[in-house]
Amino acid sequence: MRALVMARFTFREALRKRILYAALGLTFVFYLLFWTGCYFAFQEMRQGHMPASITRYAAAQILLSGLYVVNFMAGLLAIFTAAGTIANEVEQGTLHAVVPKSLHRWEIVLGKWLGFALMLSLYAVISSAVAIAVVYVLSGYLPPSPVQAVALSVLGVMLLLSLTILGSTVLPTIATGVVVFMLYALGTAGGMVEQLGNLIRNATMINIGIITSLVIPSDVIWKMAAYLLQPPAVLDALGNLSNRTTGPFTVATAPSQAMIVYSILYTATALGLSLLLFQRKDL
Amino acid sequence: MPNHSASPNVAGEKPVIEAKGLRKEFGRTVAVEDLTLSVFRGEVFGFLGPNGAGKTTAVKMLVGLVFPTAGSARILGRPPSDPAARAHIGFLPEQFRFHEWLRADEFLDFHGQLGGVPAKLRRRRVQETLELVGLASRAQDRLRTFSKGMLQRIGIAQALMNDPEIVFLDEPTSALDPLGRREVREVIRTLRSQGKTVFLNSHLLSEVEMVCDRVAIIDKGKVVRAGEMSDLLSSQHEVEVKVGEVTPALLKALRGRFQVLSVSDSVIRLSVGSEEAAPQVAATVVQAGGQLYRLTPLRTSLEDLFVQVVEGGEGERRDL
Repeated sequence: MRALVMARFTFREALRKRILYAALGLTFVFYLLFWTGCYFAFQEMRQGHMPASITRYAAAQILLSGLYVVNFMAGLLAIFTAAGTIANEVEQGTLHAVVPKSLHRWEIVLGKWLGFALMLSLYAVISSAVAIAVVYVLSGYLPPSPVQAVALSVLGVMLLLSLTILGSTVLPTIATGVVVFMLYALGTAGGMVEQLGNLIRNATMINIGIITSLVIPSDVIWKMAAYLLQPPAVLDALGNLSNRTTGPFTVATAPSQAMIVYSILYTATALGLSLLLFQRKDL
Repeated sequence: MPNHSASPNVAGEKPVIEAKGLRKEFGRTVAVEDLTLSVFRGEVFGFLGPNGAGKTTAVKMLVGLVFPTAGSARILGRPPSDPAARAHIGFLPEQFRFHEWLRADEFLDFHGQLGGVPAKLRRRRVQETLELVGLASRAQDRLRTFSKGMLQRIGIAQALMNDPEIVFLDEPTSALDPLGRREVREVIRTLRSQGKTVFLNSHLLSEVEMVCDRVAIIDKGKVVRAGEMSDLLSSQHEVEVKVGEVTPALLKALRGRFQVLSVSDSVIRLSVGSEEAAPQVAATVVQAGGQLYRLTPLRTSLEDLFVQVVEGGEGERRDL
């Protein structure tokens, strides 16, 4: 299958991108800070003879904040490495020698998607694993469902990747980057509005959150992942607080499973649409 | 204009490239108005036209990069959008921009894979095509380090990786020096000797004249002249006369019998029916009271034909 030829090529090309190395560098700097922060935080907690439940709660919070950063970086990486994958190649004309070859056009787009998906998944999985490992080594805390949570984080990145590739088939590179990033930011902001709406019991704010999560469900996926990363005790405690959220990284109620299904369909639709649109695009 | 319908040629062969009423609009701009042509197996076909005539858009429609607004194209009997048709074509794009981070051999291997060349054969094809375009010694070098001329040559190699039956070359010599051009001409001749069909899009007329069997000249997205190179050039007989003074009576007499192409000072250029017309031109000048200083039969080059067809416009010329 020629799509795999494109996938391998795209993966190799993605590994050459400066933005990837910038992201890896920043991730490394983040890990240094994260390690340092964790190290002193847990040391102090041990010395202060904090109750185990509080330590666990703190560890969960710290891990969530770390994974939030990793998740955010992976999202940015998806948007900014893939934004030009079609648009830039059309502008440059490098696709002119590729498209007349004996492969279907959709194989080119699918191959590109696969190549980026592999690179981004590796990034998301490894960097999440490192964050989980740091917290585990320093505090002994392991979140309840790390595999599912990381899988959801990967789904979130795939969603942004599909949206970016869709953008790249119809818009120029910069416009794609800006539009998808703004949608991503909108999703995050909408999620915050919804959370706040829950807190003060404002239906309008909750509805705004729901609408934005339909427009782009990236934040919902993160919330689901975050929910899975919190120890049950914390969730029970939060439940008793009658839906109050205690911080930006805590999620008291799990988003509905339907939203996860919606996110998967959303991702598939964005990818499918880009295959379809590229099929009839004049180059 | 010769009727150039997409029907079998004299030998009863089916065309390998066929365009019927191809039209492409980009918004309000009509890039190609109504293109109909046929190219047969083994031909080197020259596709000529001024800048902006729609040549590149036409080629892009034939290789499946651009979708026609109307009309149809067939490559080996299949639409260009069918990968099975494209398995037998090679294409050098006009812009020849490639993934420059690849090494020359990697680049060719990648394009061979895209073209469905089996792994065993690929290594050999990479070597063969590199040798054909004179880049064998640069196989390990990244395309980034290549000059424009070398990129154009590796672009030709890329188009030949799948050993195609039809090769579309869009301005294959634009970045080459005279030596490089000669090499490309040799490549085209080699392809012809292998029985391949070459669709050469070029505005370098001398080049086309040297290698093409048949040409089509397009202007404003339409074929304005097409035919065998030899027929097109020999059907043109021109004579230049230098006279003492160009008088209205002389011009009138000449116009009565021939077609006056241009008049400047004392030189008149005429289009005549055949070579035998030269003595009649002399007689006409003398009869009209003119002094004949010189009479030169001109050999029409493709360039003359091109300028005449495109710049003058055929209709305008006849009104002269």
